[in-house]
Amino acid sequence: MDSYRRIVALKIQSAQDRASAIVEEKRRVENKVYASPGSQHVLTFVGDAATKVQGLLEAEKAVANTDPLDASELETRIQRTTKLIPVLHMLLGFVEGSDVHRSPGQLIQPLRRYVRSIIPASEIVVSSKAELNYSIQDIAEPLRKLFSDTPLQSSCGLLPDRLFVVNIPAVESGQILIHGVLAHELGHALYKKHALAGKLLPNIKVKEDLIKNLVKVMSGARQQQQGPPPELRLREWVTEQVASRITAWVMELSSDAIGIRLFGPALFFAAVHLMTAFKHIDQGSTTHPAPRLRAKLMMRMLKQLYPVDKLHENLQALLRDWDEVSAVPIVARSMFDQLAIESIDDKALDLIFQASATAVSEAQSYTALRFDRDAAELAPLFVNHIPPGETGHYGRGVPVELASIINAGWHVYLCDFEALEISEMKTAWEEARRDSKRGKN
Amino acid sequence: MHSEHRFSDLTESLKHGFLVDDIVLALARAEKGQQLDEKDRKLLGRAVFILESAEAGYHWPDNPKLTGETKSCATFFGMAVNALPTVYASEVFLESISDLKATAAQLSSGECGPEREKIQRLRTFFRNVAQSELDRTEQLLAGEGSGDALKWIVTDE
Repeated sequence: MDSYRRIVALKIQSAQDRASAIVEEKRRVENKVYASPGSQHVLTFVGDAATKVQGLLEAEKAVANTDPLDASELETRIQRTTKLIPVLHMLLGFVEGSDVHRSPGQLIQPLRRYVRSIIPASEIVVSSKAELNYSIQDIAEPLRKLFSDTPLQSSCGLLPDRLFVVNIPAVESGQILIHGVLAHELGHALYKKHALAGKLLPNIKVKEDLIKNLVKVMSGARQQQQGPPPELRLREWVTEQVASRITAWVMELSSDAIGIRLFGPALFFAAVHLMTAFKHIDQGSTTHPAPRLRAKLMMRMLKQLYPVDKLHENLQALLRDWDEVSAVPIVARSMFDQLAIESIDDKALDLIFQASATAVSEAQSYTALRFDRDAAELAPLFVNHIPPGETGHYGRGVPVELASIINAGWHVYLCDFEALEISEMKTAWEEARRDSKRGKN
Repeated sequence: MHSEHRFSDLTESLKHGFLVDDIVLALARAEKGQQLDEKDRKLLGRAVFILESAEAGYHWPDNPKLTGETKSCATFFGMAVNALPTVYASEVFLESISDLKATAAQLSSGECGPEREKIQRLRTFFRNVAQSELDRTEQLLAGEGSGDALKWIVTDE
């Protein structure tokens, strides 16, 4: 055991060196220019936490020398503390790609303004990386939970209330219309903030008879294959699969519902564009419902919140198609999916729709009136290549909100695309004519 | 492909792990006959809560009502099943959890100490939990490099 304790001391020393390297790296990268103010928050936190992790490791030396843990327990304990180092690396990774040369600068200020209007005292880090991955995740709350009652608790004081790390695929950073899906991600933060799980889940009725039938069917299947069924493990598997699947699906659907309230049709258009390209319409997973179910909820909401039959004919046609497709029953890929689908029925979808209203105030909601106004006022600006930075009277202009820009953009893309193309061709033609005249002169 | 909430899953796994490590340390002290302080007793109170949640997770399919705690009960049930690798029958599982809970409750209350053998069993249980939670943390960390997932619609079966 003595030799092992000496090895433990070496392990601790090595981990302290790694933590010290993080402090050095933080000093090196903090001199870069970052487009998001949140990047500096992350770096300050990482520097402070890395220093304190060295102290935590030092305290483990005392545990190794004085306390009665056996070698295996001690190893597990030391490994746990050293795992904080890759977490700090992960945080540095969030900042990577957020410098001015790589992040989509034109998006950051409107997005930051928008996020702070929904969740005050929050901050964002927008990074653009070479991976097909749209996400927003709050890292401040998980870090606070992890480090509460530890010496690293004070490091969390360096973070804003919520720190959203926004990742946008590098090759898509110019595709602002697809950025509408960020509303769904913001929905996750509001789902947690308003504790919707506690309000929604008790009202969703899980089909008890289906669970019992599931256990029976699986026991039978295993009996035929491998002798006596491991009854306890079967029960554990079913519980884990069903409970985690339904709670995760309710969270995803609620985030869609909140996103529709925040961004209106823009979320639906961006969502169905992404879904059609990357996911089989009936394929669900432990964490996400099938795209058909998501489209069904969003269509239900759009039909109730927007005068769908008065929208532009192109929008009506697209929405009609999705309405018909989403009404077709989902062909479940597994028994667990089937159970979740039957539990999250139309009544549950309506509950999710209603609950989303408690997470988004009226002032934050994107309304049918705004959609009409944006289509009428902003879309013509886009068609004529005029950037809509502000609207309103001269001297009293207000910045155009992100939701308005993206909705108007979708309106142009789906309804006025020919006009945009003609306008682009005209512009190109006029430029060419001017150039040729200049050439002659 | 990785889970959409991998960072919060990771911090949660570490949080659980740190808690369980401290429970193991408190139990190691108790087994050596050392006096448990207030902090240790509180930790053993948390051990009782974990065991109660595992029990609730076991019973969930009999009356499948969803609450904000359903997912964590299912997680603790899974943890407990993995920490008792030789137990296959439901009755034995429930009996084991009940015994472990009684030992933890006795230690947490600070009243007369349970037999050394019972403390040892409780310590082995939480040692197994600590190890499997460390494995989970490592899995979550290993997913870090596979950044080719479209998280918004990710699937991970």
